[in-house]
Amino acid sequence: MRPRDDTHPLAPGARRTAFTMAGVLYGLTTLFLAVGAVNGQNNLLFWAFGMGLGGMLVSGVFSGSGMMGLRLRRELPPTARAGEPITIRYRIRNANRLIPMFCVSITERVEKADRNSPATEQPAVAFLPHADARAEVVIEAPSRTMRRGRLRLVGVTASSAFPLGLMRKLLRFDLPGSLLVLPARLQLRDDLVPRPARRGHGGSSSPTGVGQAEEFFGVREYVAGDSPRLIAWRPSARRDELVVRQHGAPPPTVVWVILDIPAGADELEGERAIAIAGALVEMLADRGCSVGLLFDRLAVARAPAVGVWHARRLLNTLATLDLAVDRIAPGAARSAPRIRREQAAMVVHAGAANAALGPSWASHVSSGDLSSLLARGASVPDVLMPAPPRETTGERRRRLLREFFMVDPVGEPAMGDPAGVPAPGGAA
Amino acid sequence: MNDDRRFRRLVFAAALLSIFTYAVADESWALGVLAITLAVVGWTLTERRAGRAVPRALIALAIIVAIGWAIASGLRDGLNVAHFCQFTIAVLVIKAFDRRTSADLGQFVMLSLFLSIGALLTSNSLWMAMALLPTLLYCVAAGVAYQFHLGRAGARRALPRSTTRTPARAPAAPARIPGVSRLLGLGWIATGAIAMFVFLLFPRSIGADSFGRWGNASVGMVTGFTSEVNLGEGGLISTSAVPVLDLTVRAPDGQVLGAPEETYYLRGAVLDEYDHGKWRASSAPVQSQLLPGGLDFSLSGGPGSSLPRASGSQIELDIMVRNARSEDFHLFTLWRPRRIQFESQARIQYTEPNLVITRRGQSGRVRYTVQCEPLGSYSDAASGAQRTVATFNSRPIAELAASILREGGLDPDPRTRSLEDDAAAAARIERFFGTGFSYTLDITRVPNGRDPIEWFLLDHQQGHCEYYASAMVALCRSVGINARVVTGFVATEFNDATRHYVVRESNAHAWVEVEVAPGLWQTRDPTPSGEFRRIHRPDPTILSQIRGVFEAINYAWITSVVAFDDTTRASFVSAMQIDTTSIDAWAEEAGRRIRSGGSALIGRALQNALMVGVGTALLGITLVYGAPAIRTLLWPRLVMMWLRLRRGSTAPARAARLAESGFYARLLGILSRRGLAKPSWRPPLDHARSIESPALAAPASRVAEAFYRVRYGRAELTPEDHAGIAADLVALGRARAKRPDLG
Repeated sequence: MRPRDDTHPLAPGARRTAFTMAGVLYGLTTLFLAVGAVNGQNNLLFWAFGMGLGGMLVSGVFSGSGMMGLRLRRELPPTARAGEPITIRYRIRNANRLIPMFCVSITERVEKADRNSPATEQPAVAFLPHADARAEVVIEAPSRTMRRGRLRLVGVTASSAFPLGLMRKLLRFDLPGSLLVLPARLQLRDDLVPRPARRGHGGSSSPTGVGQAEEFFGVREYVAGDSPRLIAWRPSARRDELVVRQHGAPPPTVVWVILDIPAGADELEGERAIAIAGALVEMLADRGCSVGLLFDRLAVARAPAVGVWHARRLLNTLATLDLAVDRIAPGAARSAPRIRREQAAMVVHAGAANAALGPSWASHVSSGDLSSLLARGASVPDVLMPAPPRETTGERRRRLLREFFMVDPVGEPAMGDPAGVPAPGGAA
Repeated sequence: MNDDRRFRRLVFAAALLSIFTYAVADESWALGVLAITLAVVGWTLTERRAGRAVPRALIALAIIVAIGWAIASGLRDGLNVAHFCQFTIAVLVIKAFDRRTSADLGQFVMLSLFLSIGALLTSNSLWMAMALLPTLLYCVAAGVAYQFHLGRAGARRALPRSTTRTPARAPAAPARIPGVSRLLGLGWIATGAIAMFVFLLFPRSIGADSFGRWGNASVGMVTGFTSEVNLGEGGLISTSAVPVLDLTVRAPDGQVLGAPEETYYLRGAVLDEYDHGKWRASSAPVQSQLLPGGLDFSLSGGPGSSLPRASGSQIELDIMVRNARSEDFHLFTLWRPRRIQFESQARIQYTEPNLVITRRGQSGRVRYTVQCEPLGSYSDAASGAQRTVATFNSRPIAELAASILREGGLDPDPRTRSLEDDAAAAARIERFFGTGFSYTLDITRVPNGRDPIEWFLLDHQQGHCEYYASAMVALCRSVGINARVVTGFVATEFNDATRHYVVRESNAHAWVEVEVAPGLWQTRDPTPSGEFRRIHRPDPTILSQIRGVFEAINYAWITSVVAFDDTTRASFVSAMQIDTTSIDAWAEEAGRRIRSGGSALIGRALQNALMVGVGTALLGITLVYGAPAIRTLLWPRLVMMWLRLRRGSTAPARAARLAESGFYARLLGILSRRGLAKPSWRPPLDHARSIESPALAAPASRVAEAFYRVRYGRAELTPEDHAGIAADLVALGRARAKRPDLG
């Protein structure tokens, strides 16, 4: 049996033709020309009526025949981050032998249920100006995810009103797909998590204390019992007394990230806590720590481990946490692992910090203090910001007044057009 | 040049061409030049790198004014194509100053197309067709480019907003889409073939005027002919070379007659009453008859009809007036017309004694055929009949006429002069103008108290054809010979290629008809022949030869396209051996149903639908453009007034404070123009501080803080504060900052 080729573009599931407003107007005008020609016996009106009729027929033939050979497949990126752009690629093949394809718009379909809280900022739209007969092209549709979790896609609609915009040919492709959207990326302060000892040459980090690590910490006076191998001879010569090298203490190699998101917590605070936890996981993994994850409420417990792949697994876990679930059944919960004394713990609270949660030596961070946790120059992503309040009547009136008297730059999108609104932070 | 700019230029070219086409069709050159100039100014001002559209308030006001003008014109003159086209041109010009979104450009294309159709309804001239062809090409090209533009704009709108990490890219616009030109060329060929098919095979003469008269497109200018002569005024004098009508003269056997040296006098009005320099037609019994569909019509000819038919063959004139008036339009014929045939319905009126024929019917192009008798001879006159002794009340003219005849050996007294001598006397008087008189188109004011004819004959001796004709009639009548002034056209310009005469506005002429015997009228032209030739038959120049070539093309266009009728279609169909029996039967049945099955009802319904549609559209546009003005200008003021009434005396102080905060609106305006419009949900100070550029952020923050002090702190600003705010606003306006990249 021939294996299924997942990269092969597919034929559409349904086809539809719809007259556009311009098409209706064009049809009425052509009818008017016909009546005028018959009534007035004006020969040029007969000719114009013929032109109008011919334009309609030619437009229909071109529009339909070009789209008949459209085959399409969607290619999604492996993962995405909430609030960051993604690029969806569409592999399009024109199966026509002779007729090229023009002016095709590809739009991701949005299920009715998702319209109130869309997973992406706007449905992704890609535009294909031209595809030769029997050619295969790849076009991209940039989009942006607005929340973590599994982004489910149902299909796309390809449409074209080429050449005159009189009628729109719509092809519906059922292409179910999903994409895991990781929590929003945060740039946290460097000092929130300990730095591990650097191995090898160079490095600018400083050990957090005296210990047995390889990294140099400082010198001190020689006391009886010190190993002669620790004597630092050059500093001893400069000081004219014996001093010995001290090595830095190794940072904790195992760190538990503990989530504290109570059942009734504010949704935004919960998302912020998850984003903080994700950022901590990434930072710790980046520094070589062995990171574990605990979320008691949903019985999530991931044993500590090192490496990028483990960090990705933890992020995946964070991405799929469903805060709407009140508490999982007690029987389903696995027993929480015991955090040992030599293991560090960082508790991330949704809202205000609660020091009673977690081991006594744990450090606590709170989503309520998010702005103070950020690195210098970093900002809170807009997906973790409260939704803008609805425009009041007064604001709307003022906006309309402004627009009415506004002197617009020519050719730019009008106010209210998403593409025309500058990004927060300004584009000056 | 980027793709977007190229598209906008294409749209603008289509708009300019459509305005030009309408100007050609309506021959409204002033309107065309003005509209094109304004549109270019608007487009240039807004298309510059730092171009800005005119505020919507002004645009809305201009549109409302245009709508008001259109409604007023419609109420005054009734809805017609000219008003529609002029309104469309006004909107196009206004839109040239206001192009913000893709929809504006789409409206440009649509309006251009409507204007082109309006031009088609206005004129069928070759010039219009030549202008229409590139206009349609550009309109279609702009329409196709608009689809690409919309697709790209849709993808651009769906782009994510600017993010901190990976900036989203707009889809790249290729410089040129391969294959589009080829496909469009193919589309044009297919469309042209379908249009040709419809043009050639669509049955004609079925359903004509079933839905009322919608006007008839002309193929040229109005005539320069007038039915009155006012000596001392402009009258027929025109040097315009605009063609008025086309004349083909045929012998009974179908052979085309005519030669460059042959002249035909096409009589229009006959003027036989004189009063102090003015010639008018006498009130004669008028016959009127409706010809409901291009029927033959025999003219009785009044008293002259009792004469035996003149010897010789009749000739047939095929005349096409390029733009006739709808009412009382004089039909030009040779003397004397016997039968007339029309291709469309008309009401004919004619006066019996002098056979002046006028027509009421559709305006625009009118084609008719006249069968005329040849000029009569003396032997054709009624034997034994008494001459009508005419008089002219001027002693000096009478003495002059008598002296002219005496010099020729003729008796000036009609009582004693033989009837046979009247023709010789008329010829003698005609020759009198050959010496001592000069032809001029300059109109000199007649001295007060002088009769223009006396002044011309006895003193001035300079004038144009009207003076010559008037003077000859006066002289003839003074010696008892009945004569009358005739105005019309002379056909002198014979085109060898098309074997027809082109009659121009400058060929308008006045001459004389003399009754040389009872009921026998002869045509006489006292205008000196040399001057006549200079005016009406100029020596051929390169320019006139080129014009002749163009006229030949134009004539071919008119006869083969504009005048394509059911007869031509039938001959084409039979020549091509195409079986159109079923089409004809269907069309015949449809035409019969339309005529008998309440065509008036359908016509009224269509007219009502049109009126309601146009009225609703105008009302809708008024509301669309007027509502923002009402909502933003009037409504807040009404609310404020109401609040003041409710709150009493506390309002003024607050209102005064708020009035001070006008600088805040200016701040918002400046930021908006710089692409930093404040989102409605963001507080002003927060927004000002979030601006990246310090050159903008610092002054904006200071102004926002001042606004806070006024608005919320209820503080009053000092003059220093005002000066500082003004300086900050100026600095904001001048600060160099990069415009946002919108792809």
